[in-house]
Amino acid sequence: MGADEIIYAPIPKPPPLRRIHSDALYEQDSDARRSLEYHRTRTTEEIVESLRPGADESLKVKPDGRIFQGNTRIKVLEERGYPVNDLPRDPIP
Amino acid sequence: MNTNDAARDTALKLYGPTVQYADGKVVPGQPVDVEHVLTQFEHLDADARSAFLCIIAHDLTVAIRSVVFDAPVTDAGVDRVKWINESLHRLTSCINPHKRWSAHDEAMLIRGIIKNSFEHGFDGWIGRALAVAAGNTIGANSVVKAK
Repeated sequence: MGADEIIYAPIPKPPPLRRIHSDALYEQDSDARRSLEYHRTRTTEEIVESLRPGADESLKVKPDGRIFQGNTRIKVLEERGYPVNDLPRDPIP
Repeated sequence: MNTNDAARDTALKLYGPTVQYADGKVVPGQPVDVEHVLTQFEHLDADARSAFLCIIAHDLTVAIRSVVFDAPVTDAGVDRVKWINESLHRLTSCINPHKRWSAHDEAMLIRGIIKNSFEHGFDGWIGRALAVAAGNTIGANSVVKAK
């Protein structure tokens, strides 16, 4: 490698999303279950739009991939096989 | 320095949400034109102002999650949660339709919350919330500070 050779480091990709609400929560908490049932009635496009940055309840994610907003909607997208890790996120501290 | 002065002094330092894409690209949040947003806020009708304030309140619940989910919570974290909770206490009071505040008083409340956010370390959350609330009620093009 020459002294003037420039090495371009790849931009690190964000870690995979991880829901902080377990599947068990939706069995134990009737409000969580109602929310899940509601989001299951929505189209994939509607859910993706609701998660976009700038939306009033956008996908908010910690640096380690934990989801702090959007857990139930991500769960529904996962059930449908949607590539959730491709979604843009609002990184939070 | 009164609350108005403090909010004006800090207006340039509030930023909207950052966006991180799947390929790793990060687009930093843009500065929020607080004076413009609050002026436009006062022209909104009561329902739109409620929506604005609810968006801020909802974001602040996520801010609390962000502090308390990682134990142990530091003393600074506890202090931050106290002040975020105080902001929520005031926001949820003024949204009550049975004792609704004037548009001007609600704008003053937001100024006070901005001031407190800088003093207690949750200005990043308020900038993000203010930008999103304005974008969803006033209009996306009017939020960021003109260059």
